[in-house]
Amino acid sequence: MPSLQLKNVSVVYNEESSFSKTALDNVDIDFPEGKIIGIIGRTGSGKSTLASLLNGLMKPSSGQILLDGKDIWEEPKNIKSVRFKVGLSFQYPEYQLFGETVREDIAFGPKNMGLSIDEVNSRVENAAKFCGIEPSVMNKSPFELSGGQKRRVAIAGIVAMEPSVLVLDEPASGLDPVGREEILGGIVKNSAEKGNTTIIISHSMEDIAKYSDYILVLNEGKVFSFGTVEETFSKAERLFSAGLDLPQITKLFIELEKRGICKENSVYTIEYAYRKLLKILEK
Amino acid sequence: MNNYISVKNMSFAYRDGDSLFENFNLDIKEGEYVAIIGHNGCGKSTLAKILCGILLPNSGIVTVNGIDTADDENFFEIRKSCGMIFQNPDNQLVATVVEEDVAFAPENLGVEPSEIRKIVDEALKTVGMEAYAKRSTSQLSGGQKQRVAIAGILAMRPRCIIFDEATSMLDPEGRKDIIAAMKKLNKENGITVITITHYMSEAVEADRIIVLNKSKIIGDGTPKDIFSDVKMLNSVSLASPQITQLSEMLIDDGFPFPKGILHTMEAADVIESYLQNK
Amino acid sequence: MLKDITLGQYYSADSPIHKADPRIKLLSLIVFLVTVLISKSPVSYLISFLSVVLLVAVSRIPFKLILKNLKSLIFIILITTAITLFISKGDTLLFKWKFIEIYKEGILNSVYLIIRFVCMLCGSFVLISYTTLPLDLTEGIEKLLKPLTLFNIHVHDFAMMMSIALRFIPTFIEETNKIISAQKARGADFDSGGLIKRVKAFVPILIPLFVSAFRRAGDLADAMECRCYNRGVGHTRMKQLHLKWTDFVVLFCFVLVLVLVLIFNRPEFFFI
Repeated sequence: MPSLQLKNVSVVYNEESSFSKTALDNVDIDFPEGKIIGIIGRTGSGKSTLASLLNGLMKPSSGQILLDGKDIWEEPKNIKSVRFKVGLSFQYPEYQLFGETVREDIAFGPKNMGLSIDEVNSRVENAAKFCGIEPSVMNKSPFELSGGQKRRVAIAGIVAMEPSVLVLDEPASGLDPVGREEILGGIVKNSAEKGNTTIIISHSMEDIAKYSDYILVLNEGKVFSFGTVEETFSKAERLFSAGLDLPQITKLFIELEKRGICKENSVYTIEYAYRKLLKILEK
Repeated sequence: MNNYISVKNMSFAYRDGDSLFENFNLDIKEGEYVAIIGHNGCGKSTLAKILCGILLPNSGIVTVNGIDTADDENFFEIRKSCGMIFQNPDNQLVATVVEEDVAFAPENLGVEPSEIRKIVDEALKTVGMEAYAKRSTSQLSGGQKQRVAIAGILAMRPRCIIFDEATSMLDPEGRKDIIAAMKKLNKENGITVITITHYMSEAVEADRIIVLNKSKIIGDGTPKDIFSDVKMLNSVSLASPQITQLSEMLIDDGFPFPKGILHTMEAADVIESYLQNK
Repeated sequence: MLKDITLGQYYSADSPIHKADPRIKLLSLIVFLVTVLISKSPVSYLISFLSVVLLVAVSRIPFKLILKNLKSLIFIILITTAITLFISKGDTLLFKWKFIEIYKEGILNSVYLIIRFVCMLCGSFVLISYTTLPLDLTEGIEKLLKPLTLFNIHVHDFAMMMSIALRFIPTFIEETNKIISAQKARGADFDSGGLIKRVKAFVPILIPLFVSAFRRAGDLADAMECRCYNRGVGHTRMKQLHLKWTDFVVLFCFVLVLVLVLIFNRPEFFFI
């Protein structure tokens, strides 16, 4: 099992100039192994900076990032191998597609790893299957596909490197409800089957609540809260102060509590809310 | 009220593709606030471009404010009557400075310089961006860029604005700002607003929702009507707001709640009064 | 990687040069470039040089900033100067070692060359880059080239293209950075290997960049159409350019320098 930890990590942009800006401030997290961790926060809370850090695209100003107990910047020359272990998919990843065929595009990462042709091919097939890409699409140009399909091809390009930690920055943004479900559901399935640690960064509290095991809330570069989904939602009202938009269901129960009707913490799924309300109404 | 946009027996196909719309009819009244929802690929964005005349139908008639969009001589008249905001905030700003961008349309229309100044200031004020008039457009956030784009359209003083997934690339705060702007334009300025979206939280704010599936209208009504029809929405894999789903489940169990509860407060009120009367 | 490119080096300050009409600045620059190029005598060169120093002082741009910018070009200046120094032949041989011969004329020519470089670069920096906003510049160019419309050349199209290019440069720099990061995350290597390998490594960056440029261009065309763009036919401008008497003073100063240089180019002033 892969382990990933951040130890007192800070990132300061433009350190020397007077415009310096602290993007991350003394962040200390131990990502639970083999789980899905949702990261949420407002724009500018440091979410995307964190993603670049985990994958070694950026060096922290201070502190350490430990992958399996080893500082990833111990030997800067080997940073490429870290990128293969921690796969990172950026926001709107379809904008990075370039291959003549879908197959060729997905193979780009594995080829860069220096794998044998057979190994590359089998990884490409596996990744395509995981991301729900039909075989008939594999020889098409990625530019002919629909938005949702392009997104899946781009994510398959990362999955094909078979990283032990998968970091996805806004994997579902801009997609319609069906596209969201396909992408996020696929990621959950992938993580469960492979036992990978998966980190999903999102603006949508509803998506995060639905698909992840743990939630990390960032606010102004600091860890605002970190715990299981239930733990996070038990302090739901506090999340408002981090500027987060809570799911409607959660807001309903906060309101009912205010009116003295019931006291029910951590409500975030419709089914759970339905069961609880039935009890209250039938009492 | 009069029909502001009217689509009659319209058919449309892209040059290389299958026909997208066949015998399509739609009327939008002046001053309405309409949301068109549906999947990616259901023809929403194409419809938006047909409504404002960027794309012309193969057959049938589309009129904006009584003018046929195929009428070349009234090109400017149609553009001025019905503006459009696009999805990507980066791709619709023309100038490097905010106020220069807003001035683009009146400049093209040959408006007097002193008059343009007035129009620009007014438009920026309407969207709450007057403090950014001299700023560089590249330094704004996504939501701010969209607001500048709205000001740029307002500078033509249109009677109708179409938003084509204008919030889908924004963060939640930007989205809220743009939804608030749509509401304000509709309620305070009386502008007909048509928003094409797949965010139900955005559609809830409208007065009328049109559900599009495979280029056909399968639902047309108030948010209450549309969202309480959970079956119809599920058949096209769209989901009602959480609160509506929850209250419809309780109604199915026989609780005497009104259909189509959309907002949190509404639901809390209904539950409270039910418990009090029991 | 690309963050270091500073664009629109506009230096905000309150000076007669900043306030001058962009058309006047463009014309002044042409006059000044001609002045520098036709300078022949030592006195003419001195006049050109002093006028550039004066120009910088009047524009209130810190000399330090100008020097910093010149420093980045010093390599080119030095190489051309060295070549001039070694290949110039003349009457007075000062130094000879093996095949290297240095003449008095060679030294003079290289000094003149440096002065020319410095004058032309500083003149352009001060008159255009540091004191003129990009949009004012395109507006100035459009107005100056207006007579060309008589020959059926669409000056407005050209100016529009220029201003759109300026508008999209920051967008594309941001986009390029994003794509580079994304491909790096897929193990792309831009820093090692031979020339061919390195050129090939840029394919995964260039293709997405082109695709996105075309997509953006399509979107922008729709957006411009929606805002009544009609290739500038019958258009007006919110900000009008007005020539003021001070503008003519600026232009007059440059013409004066040109006349002075012409006078001092006469043979009697070649005393070295």
